[in-house]
Amino acid sequence: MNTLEIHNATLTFDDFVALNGISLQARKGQFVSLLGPSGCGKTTLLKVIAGFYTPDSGEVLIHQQDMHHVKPEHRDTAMCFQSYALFPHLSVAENIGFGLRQRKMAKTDIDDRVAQTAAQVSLNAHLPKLPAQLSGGQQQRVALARALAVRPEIVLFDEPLSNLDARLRDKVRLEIRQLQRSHGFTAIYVTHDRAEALSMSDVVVVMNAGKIEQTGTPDEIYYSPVNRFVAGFVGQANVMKARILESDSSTGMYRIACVLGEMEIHSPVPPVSDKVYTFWRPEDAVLSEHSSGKNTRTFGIGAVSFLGNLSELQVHPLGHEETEYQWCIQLVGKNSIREGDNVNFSIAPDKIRFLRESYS
Amino acid sequence: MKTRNRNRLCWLLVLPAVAPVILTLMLIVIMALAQSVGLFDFGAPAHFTLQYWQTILNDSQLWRATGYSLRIGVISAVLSVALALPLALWLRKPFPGSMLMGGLLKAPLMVHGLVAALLFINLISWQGFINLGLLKLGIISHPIRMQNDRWGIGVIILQVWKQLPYALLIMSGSLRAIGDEIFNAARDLGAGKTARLLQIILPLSIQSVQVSLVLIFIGALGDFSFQVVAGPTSVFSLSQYILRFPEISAQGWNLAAVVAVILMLAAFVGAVVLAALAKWLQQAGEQR
Repeated sequence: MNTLEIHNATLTFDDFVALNGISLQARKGQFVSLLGPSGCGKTTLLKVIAGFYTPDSGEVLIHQQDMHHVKPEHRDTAMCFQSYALFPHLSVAENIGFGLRQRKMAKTDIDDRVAQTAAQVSLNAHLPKLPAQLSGGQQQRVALARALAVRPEIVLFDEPLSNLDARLRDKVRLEIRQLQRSHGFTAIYVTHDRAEALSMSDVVVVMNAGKIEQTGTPDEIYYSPVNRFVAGFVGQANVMKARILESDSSTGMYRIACVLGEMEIHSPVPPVSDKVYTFWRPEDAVLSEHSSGKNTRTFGIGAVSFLGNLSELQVHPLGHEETEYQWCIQLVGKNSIREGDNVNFSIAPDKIRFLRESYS
Repeated sequence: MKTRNRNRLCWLLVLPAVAPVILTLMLIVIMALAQSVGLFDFGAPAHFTLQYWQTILNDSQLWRATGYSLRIGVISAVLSVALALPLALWLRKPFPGSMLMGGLLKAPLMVHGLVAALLFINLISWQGFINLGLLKLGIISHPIRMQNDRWGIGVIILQVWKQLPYALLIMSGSLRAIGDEIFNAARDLGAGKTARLLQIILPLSIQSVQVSLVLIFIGALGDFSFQVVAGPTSVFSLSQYILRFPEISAQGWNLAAVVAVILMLAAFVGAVVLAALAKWLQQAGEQR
């Protein structure tokens, strides 16, 4: 059974359409990420689920119950805010116990639950402190503990890691995922960080301009994006227009004409039309000793960036230096390729994928 | 630079601004105290005496005036803050017309108290607009006494009208400083309106509530103009009471100094009690 269901939710602020026909489901214990650029409506959607905004049309169901007239304070949700929103005048213990006090729990029960929740996020030593006395990472944990203490069915995360440094972000990311698995709550997690979304989620919902572009598992979103926006947002994508020359749907083999000349594609999913966008990921190209061969081409090197574990090359097909074909190739480790070199790369037929987006 | 040296430098830098204020205040307090015990006298050789204190403390009018002024001060302060808090909450976030509304509410700041009192008389006097309106509408058969009423209700209304904008200004700032996400977090955790008011809004704005209470109380306690125009005729306010004495004789200044010291003491004690009471009420509410 779905814990959360949203059907065709639309919300406008004056002339601005913040949410445009959003439909979404989340099962119990599922980790769902809302991924998209700033202003795409993901936080608005979170606030609609929490009850801070009421959609103009459509419905929000929690446990099959329509939430239209249910106030935020009466919903079985808890939110982790981007700014943490800790109560500055209350100690860590009082912050964690705030929701329990509202539920009129006995003081001894509150103390027990606070101690138990604080232990789960390693905050026992900080219970008497005020939020201002804690580091960013500790404050983030308090916000998490405060949400978890009330044992909600749905925890809503609004970019909770955006104020943390990179190392701490990785650590807290793992902790959130572990806590979510051990508590079994449904998580709706807003982020614009694709790595966060792909690494943590069971389901990723990619949003753009108030609409859902695609919903799927991290694998589906990364390897089978529906359009150029999703392909480019969840990772670097080298997009090519392709014309289908030959197709054999029984074997899934296709021959296309593109800026790289004639190429072969092996795809279990057929193209949506004869003129379709295709893409390949930067890590899908491999160095080749030969300049010609099936799906092997020579690329001009525009720039080389050493990133530690890999090298990133800005490349373009020979004779095509226009912006549209400024692509990216990633190679593991350091290598001797320099700016201005011409280098052969081959792309396996199953690494070039059709987008479900055609052109005229 | 070491912390101690830096602190000294800071003190030296603020001294030109702070010193005249402190010196003037101390001078006034010391002069009033000295005058009240005869050590500073306009009409006789200076000598220490408690005679003026004895005279004033034995005057029943002093106690009536003190009680009346304290009552006006406390009620005006509490009412102004109680009305300003929801208004400040309402005006916390901009909405169409909020600037106009905020401007209208602050308009009394631009009207002098005495002018306001005179205008107010047009409303509440025996033949004022309210009585005329009520008579014409047939709601009353003869005018109601609202001006110079024995309870000082007219004065309290004037005080609240005049002082509410100060409270609004002070509290608006502190309420705006509470981020929306704090309110949302409280709601999200199950806090209803009362819980949010008692457990979030009041604790986070208690200092501005205290400051508003103290400032309005002190202003209303020492009120003269509203009292003269709209106050009851059966009882003096402390400010009115002070002015009686210099007219009697040269020694009247010493008697007035005693009342001035009592007024200062009442202002100090009343302000401390009100601030403490506000804090206590906030803590009691938070514990609910």
